[in-house]
Amino acid sequence: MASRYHLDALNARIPDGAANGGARTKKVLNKYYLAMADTAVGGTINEHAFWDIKVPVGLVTPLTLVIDFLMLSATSGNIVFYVYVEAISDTDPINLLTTTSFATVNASAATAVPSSAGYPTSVSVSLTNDDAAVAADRLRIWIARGATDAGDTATGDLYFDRADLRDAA
Amino acid sequence: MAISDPKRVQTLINRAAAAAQEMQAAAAELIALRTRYQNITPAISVAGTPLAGNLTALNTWITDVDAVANRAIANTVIAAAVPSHRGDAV
Repeated sequence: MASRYHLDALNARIPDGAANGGARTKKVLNKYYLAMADTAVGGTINEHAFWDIKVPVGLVTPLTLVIDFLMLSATSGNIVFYVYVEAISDTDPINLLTTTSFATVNASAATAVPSSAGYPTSVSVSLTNDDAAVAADRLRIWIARGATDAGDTATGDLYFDRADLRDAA
Repeated sequence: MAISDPKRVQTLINRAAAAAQEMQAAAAELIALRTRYQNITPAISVAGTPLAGNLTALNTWITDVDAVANRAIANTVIAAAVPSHRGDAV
């Protein structure tokens, strides 16, 4: 398993406006996080962010995303991440100015939060639904907290730290 | 989509805590006002005012408001409030 791309809080593409569910950038001790709330905006839009990359040459699926995070105040309960992948090839008949084509969600297992607020932990998400990504594709990764998932029981903000995109090479 | 029960409970806690804090602030203001009123000398006459015959009732009400606002359960929900919980899970 090889690390292929590093998804940092600062190189995320965040939707404009709170109503659109953009994760909130937080600076703590000179380190940046993306805060993701425990309930969805308007009850439907889980707070999220995007990363836009070029699929590295030599990529071997299946892909795995290892997400580092911590909790602002929760010391019990579980969290769930939703990860969506969109892979666009040169010849795909899609108008990128009007259309997105993310594959079906990849949900993490319900993962217990650390027993102390602020303590780091990580969760691995298998990107089974990878939109048939191949080398040189335009790859977008959409990471959301699964606040609307019944398995996400921890209250308060989740702080996304970073994620590592790994392949099978 | 199904919001988990702990989040629904947290919403109730957060909203109850916010109300409890407002009630406690109001009670504290009433207690302070009563103390200032009672300490005025010479004593104030309420004859001919809406409080004529009602001063004892008002005094009791202020005491009751303070007691209710500061019940243990109020402080329990205040302590259990999670500021970053959005509070709309109910």
